[in-house]
Amino acid sequence: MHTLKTFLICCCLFGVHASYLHAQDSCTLSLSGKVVCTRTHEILTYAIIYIKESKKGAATDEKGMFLIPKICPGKYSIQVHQMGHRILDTLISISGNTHVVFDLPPDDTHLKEISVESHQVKKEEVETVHKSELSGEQLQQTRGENLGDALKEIAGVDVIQSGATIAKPVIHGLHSNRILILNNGVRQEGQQWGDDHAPEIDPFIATKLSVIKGAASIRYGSDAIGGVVLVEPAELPKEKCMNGELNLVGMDNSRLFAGSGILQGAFDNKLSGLSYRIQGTYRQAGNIETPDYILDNTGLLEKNYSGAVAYEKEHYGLNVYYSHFYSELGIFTYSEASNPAQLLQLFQELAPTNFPLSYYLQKGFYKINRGYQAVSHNLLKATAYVKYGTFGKLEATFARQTDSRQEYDLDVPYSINGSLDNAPQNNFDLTTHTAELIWEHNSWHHISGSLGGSFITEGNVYTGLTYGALIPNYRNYGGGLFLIEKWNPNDKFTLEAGIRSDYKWQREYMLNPTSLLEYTNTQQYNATTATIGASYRFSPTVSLSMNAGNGWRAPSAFELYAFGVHGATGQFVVGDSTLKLEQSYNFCSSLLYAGSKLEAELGAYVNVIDNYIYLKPTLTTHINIDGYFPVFDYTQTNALFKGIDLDVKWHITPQLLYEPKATLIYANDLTTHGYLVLIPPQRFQNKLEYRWKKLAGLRNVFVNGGNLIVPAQTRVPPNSDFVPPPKGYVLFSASVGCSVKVRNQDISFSIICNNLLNTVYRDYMDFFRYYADEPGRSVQLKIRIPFQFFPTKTTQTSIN
Amino acid sequence: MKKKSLLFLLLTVLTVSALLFSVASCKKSEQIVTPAPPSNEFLTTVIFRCVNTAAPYDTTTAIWRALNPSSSAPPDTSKAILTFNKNSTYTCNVYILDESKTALSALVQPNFNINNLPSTTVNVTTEIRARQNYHLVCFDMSGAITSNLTVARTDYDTNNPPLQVGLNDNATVLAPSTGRMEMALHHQPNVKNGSCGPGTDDFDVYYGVTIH
Repeated sequence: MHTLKTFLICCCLFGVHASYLHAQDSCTLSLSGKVVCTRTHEILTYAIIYIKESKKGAATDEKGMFLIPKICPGKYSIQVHQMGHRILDTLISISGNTHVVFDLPPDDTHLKEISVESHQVKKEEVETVHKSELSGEQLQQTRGENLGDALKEIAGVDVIQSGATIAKPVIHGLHSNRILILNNGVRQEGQQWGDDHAPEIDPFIATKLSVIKGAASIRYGSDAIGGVVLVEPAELPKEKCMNGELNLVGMDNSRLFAGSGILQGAFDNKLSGLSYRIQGTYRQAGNIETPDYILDNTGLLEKNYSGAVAYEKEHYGLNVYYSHFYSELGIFTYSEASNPAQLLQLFQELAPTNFPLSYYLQKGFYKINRGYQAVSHNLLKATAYVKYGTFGKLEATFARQTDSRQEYDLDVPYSINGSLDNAPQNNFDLTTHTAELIWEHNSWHHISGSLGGSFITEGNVYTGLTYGALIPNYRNYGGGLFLIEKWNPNDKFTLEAGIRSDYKWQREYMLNPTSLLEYTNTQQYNATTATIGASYRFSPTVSLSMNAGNGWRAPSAFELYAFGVHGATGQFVVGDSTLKLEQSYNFCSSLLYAGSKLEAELGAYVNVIDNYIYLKPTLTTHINIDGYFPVFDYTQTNALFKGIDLDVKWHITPQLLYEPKATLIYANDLTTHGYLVLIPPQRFQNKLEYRWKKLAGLRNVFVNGGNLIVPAQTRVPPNSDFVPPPKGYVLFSASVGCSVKVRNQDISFSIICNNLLNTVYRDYMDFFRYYADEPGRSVQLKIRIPFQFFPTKTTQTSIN
Repeated sequence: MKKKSLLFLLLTVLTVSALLFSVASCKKSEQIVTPAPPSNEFLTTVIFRCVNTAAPYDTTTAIWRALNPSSSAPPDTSKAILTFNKNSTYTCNVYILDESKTALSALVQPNFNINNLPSTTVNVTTEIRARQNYHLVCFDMSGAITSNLTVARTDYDTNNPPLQVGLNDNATVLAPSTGRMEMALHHQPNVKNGSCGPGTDDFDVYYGVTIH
């Protein structure tokens, strides 16, 4: 009765009428996958996979594959055995047909240990949209890099840069306000509208970085028309323990060093269910070296920390998370031209003004001078949930974020009394509150899904020294209701569909520059989004997913009211307060092959965006005190994005792995039948890796070499840029790594060399292409040290 | 069962209070638009004033002015004209003003005198002089005046060795002709070397020139 009551309350909360769903288990789901050796990556045949609760099991075939059919939805303890390997105990929640890869560590130490690894198989709300992940060793190789650069490892993801320190992810050619970043489940709200505003996230908090490569407005509302980046920390430990890990990174180019530590644990007895984690990162770098010169004032400093406490019981849980991010980024001193004439002159020079190393050693290599950004971001998130067998799970999340960005120009402002000597020229403060309530109902007639509502409000305050505000102050409110349902009639087929309705209200507060009187403008937007998708598994190795959905995005305050020079590009940008919302229609499909020797993911997409907002050259000139500037207006057109992502892993022999990747993007303006600006060029990557189980007393030894091929971008519209896109380039890289067992912990080391040949190149997606070359060769050393205080013998929990 | 209901109640209370908190905690600070602090100076007006060394009554004052930098209206260049007499030498000064706070009626007049400015007009030249060690004024002629007008900087900064600044100049005028003079203030922190190449521009303005 109580369950019924809770359910009814829930229905009332959403204001919908629903007939009482008879909770009936549908045991038609399947768990399939592969078992491989952690160290050698070889497939393991005849390994036993056993579900404790249902006493069901299966063994892997000669290809290392297994399939357990007829499973009811729920959370299961699963044990995986294979002779010569440690037993793996893990928890998996199954809500749809689930495919997993179990990694079994070899038991060559002859210690009677049981390895408990927490394999998080999270329920995907929309599972037919192509998603790629970066975790484990792949993620480890990106440690010390910023979020944008780390995500470049994923096919279909590029970056847009303002020098080597500011990188923003680009998914299928879309970036900034067109993609969403979820920081531990909360949509990150910073000043995303700026091309040189990097995401305020410490990638060290994540044990998994995922990218949803397609419209996800159905789940997240406005802005997610290009895709979603998920920055996900590991789940907090469940059983009594105290452990952690330390990551250290050093790099010769820019003399970067980074250290990040995690300490986590859980309690038992009276405090059973209580767990915690604290984490902190320090990252600092000096001036970046290109093959021929040092880039003045390109240092960075980052100080981040986060903490989480959770109390979780069988039927309910509460989780509180806080994170703080602070960064200072030096802006390359000679990355600004006062006018296009000067920009052209800079571009024709062989090298920007630069100083020898001795100059920096004397002045302080890590010193960040004026011409920098200081950004701090705070996030407080609280989640509470209740769940019962027949009812499902009801989860409420509340989050508050503050984002504060100060931009200091090269020179101190002109002032009589010196009172502004340390003032930033621009100061942006954004405060965001979000709340979400989601009910994930249990499977009913093979149908599972979620019903939810979200609310957001933001207040943006600009204070600065510019004559007119760079972006106006504003307040907005937004809300949405969604329903996403999935039908799994058997273990091969999934059909899903969703619908969502959103409303957004925004009011800007501005000053009339002549009368200095305040006035306001208000916009309201309504949008309905829908998605439909299906996936079918033809065999244990081959599956196909297809999805069609739409998305929307309200124009940003910058696009509505910009008026001024874009420092990096020399364009005079003019906003348009009458811009309508962007609507996208996204079709994507992905073909997955997961054989024992070959794993391949082929994704294809078509994204049509109506009212796509872009900067159009007006071919007129604006004269101001700095000189003459070509005027670009924000305007709307219909745009078409299509492309292919390919990601292959081919185990040529058990030791030798070949990993090619390709990212192809074609974008067109459907109105003018021309091209669009700032679309990433094609990208091809190759990697060949050889591994040894043991070599000279070291474990898990690998050596690899690879290249990155980027042809020149030739698909650019005329009159949109002062200089043609840079030439194509090929970069080579190589790395070696191994691990050493110290006190039962695998300490891993790797050395990575990027731009091995010290190639001089410039990249079309980097605004600094006008001023300077990209960084030269760099050698990085990465060390990962896991540690464990207790338990010391019986169980080992690792963060992965 | 009681426990469950209590917990659910707790959850609902938490959500509602969170929502209330989120709405209540909006301080509405966005509703107050803060203009730039008055002590911040904008460069709105660039003046080039020359006095004939042989005949002090022969003066010419060119005024380039964009009073509202956030307006799309073009700058006022109606007075940005220099008129010289042939075969003469002039002593010239560059003045940079902030007239954004000046009442319209009190704007600087063509018979300009730096010592006689409206009280709300800020003479930014003083600030630039204070930062002369990384500033340089550059001149560039176009049209027929190219071979008939030469502007030479006469003032020096305190760099070691001292480098020219260009806020004070000498203009040498030859045959009658017309053309255009570009005057730019280069901002060159760390890189001032006497040449016009490095740095960005604080201003880059144009004056029409006629030599009678």
